[in-house]
Amino acid sequence: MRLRVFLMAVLLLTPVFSLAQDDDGQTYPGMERDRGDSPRTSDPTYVPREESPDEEDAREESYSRIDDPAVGLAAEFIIGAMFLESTRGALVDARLGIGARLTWEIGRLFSDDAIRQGLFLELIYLTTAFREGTELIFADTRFQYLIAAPAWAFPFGEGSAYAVYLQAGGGVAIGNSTLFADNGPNGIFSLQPVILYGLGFRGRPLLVGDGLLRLFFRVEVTRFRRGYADDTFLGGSIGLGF
Amino acid sequence: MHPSWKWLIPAACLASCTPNPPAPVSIMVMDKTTQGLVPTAVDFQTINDTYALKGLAATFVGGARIVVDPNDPLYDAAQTDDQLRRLALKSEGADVRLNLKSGGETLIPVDFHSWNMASAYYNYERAFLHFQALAVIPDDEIRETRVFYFPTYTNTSLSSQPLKDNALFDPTTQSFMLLPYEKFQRVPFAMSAGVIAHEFFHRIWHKRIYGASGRPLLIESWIGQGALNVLKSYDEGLADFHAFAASCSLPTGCDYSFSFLEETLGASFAQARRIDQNSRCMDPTLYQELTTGGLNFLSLERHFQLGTVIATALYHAGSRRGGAWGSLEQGALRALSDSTPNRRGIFELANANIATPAYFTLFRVANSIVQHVDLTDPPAAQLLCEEFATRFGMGPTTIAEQMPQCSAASGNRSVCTQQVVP
Repeated sequence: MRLRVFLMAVLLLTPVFSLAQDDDGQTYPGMERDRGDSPRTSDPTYVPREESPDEEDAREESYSRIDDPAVGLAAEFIIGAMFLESTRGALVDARLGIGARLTWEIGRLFSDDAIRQGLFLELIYLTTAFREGTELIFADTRFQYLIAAPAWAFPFGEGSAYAVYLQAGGGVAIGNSTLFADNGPNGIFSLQPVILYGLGFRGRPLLVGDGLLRLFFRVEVTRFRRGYADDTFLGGSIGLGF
Repeated sequence: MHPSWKWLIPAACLASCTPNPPAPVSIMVMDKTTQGLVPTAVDFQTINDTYALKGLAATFVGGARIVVDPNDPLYDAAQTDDQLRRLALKSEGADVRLNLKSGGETLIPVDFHSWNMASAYYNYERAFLHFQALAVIPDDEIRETRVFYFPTYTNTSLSSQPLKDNALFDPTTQSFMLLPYEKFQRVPFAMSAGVIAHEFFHRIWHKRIYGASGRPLLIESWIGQGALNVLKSYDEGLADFHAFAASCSLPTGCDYSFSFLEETLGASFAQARRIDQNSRCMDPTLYQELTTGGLNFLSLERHFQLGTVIATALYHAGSRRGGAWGSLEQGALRALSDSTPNRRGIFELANANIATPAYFTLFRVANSIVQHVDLTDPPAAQLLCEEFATRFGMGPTTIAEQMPQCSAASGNRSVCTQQVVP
């Protein structure tokens, strides 16, 4: 009975290491180790051989694509406060601004990790509208900004999904205004060049474990030079990318 | 400056400076036509900076905060008018900047406030050119008036809250105020040529009668006196008369019905102030309020009522000559100040009677105006005699004593039947 218990204990044992060999590198009698090309650490005159071209190429090969297999496209909905430069000398006129952006992480075309993680390009659409005037004489005005802007992200650590970014670009501001007067509506269309510059905090954390679907969001301060006026947007965006 | 830095100036200007076409500048404004208030292409003749609206007629300022508070201890401590102005101007504001697009050779405002301000400048320019053409008031008294657009303006003698729904000339800052609208949702005051012309006259009156002072001695001396009520009544009456006369240059012609008041304030306001009505007469009650009512006369806004009688007299004097109001306007402007001994202007008459306000009467001021109309147009002066005597309800004794320029028989009882003074 006692032997039976002993055998059961032995069979049930799941040692974390083999009890048959001590892992301190010692060679016991009867056990010869094959060192292969491993250097003899006790040889002070050892000089490592030069890498072969194949070995050098293999070392420089980037595995980022494996680490982050996303395509680098995203779409986000934008919302925030648009502070239009006031025509009437009051600093700004605050309006609601909404829009959308398409992001292409164009840096993925490059092998350099800094460019890969930093460079992205966006197409931005932002609009704001308002009515001003009295009940009898008033104007409905809408500004629509269409902008292409590259940006550079500064991630918080290697491969981080979060980054601070700087952005600058250009486009057009389409102005549509309808002035309601005694002769009815009078439409006014304007087209102005726009320069964009701004900064923000951007996040693109994984939603799905395989790295293909990410949540894109940001908080930003962006300025628009619209003709001779300066508008400021404080807001953010949220969307999905893959 | 280092030569290599000179390129920064045009580069910075390119980034921030608006173009500045020389006058005349073709621009769209809201103007009154036979179709009503509609976008119309006009020429700014006096503009220096179109986008910032600065020119000979007016210079616009936006976003300012002004507080006129006679209860402020610093108000009494202020020694000069300039100190009063700086005390009142809590925030100086900033240049306006119109949002304009180029429509060929004509600039077109894009948003409402750009339309509103452009229209206002055009109305100030029209008023400036109207008074300039009369050739009585020198240019330096009417040029480059500062216009505060949509300021936060508080006058504690009127209200503790910022004023809205009005356009006015503020004596303390010597500036026009185009106040924000809240309750009055009709035609904005800035787009009303009649309102702007009316207010423009107040600047002239204030310069000529009060010496452009923010704390006029006449007002301080005559508070509660009938003489002050006389001054305020003529101020409003002459402003309405000049606004009417200026309207005759508009595309729609003379504004007989005072539609500029109906468009901005409503039909009842226009009906109460229109000056073409033959029924405008002073009655004994109004006269008693004028002479003995003290400040109640002003708080009940009777100075507008009496002002309408004054303006009606001037209107009908010109109407009876086929619509010739130019000489009447010139005479009324000359009468504002004249140091000629036997033909004293209103300013001289008032300042000679600071201590004897009872001598400064409705009738003696009327006499001064008649005298100055008579300088260039005696027939018009004679008609004005009849209109003043009739509408003030003057009897021969008062005419002889206080309006000696006129015949004692000037009164016409068929128009205004009540005799108010002997």
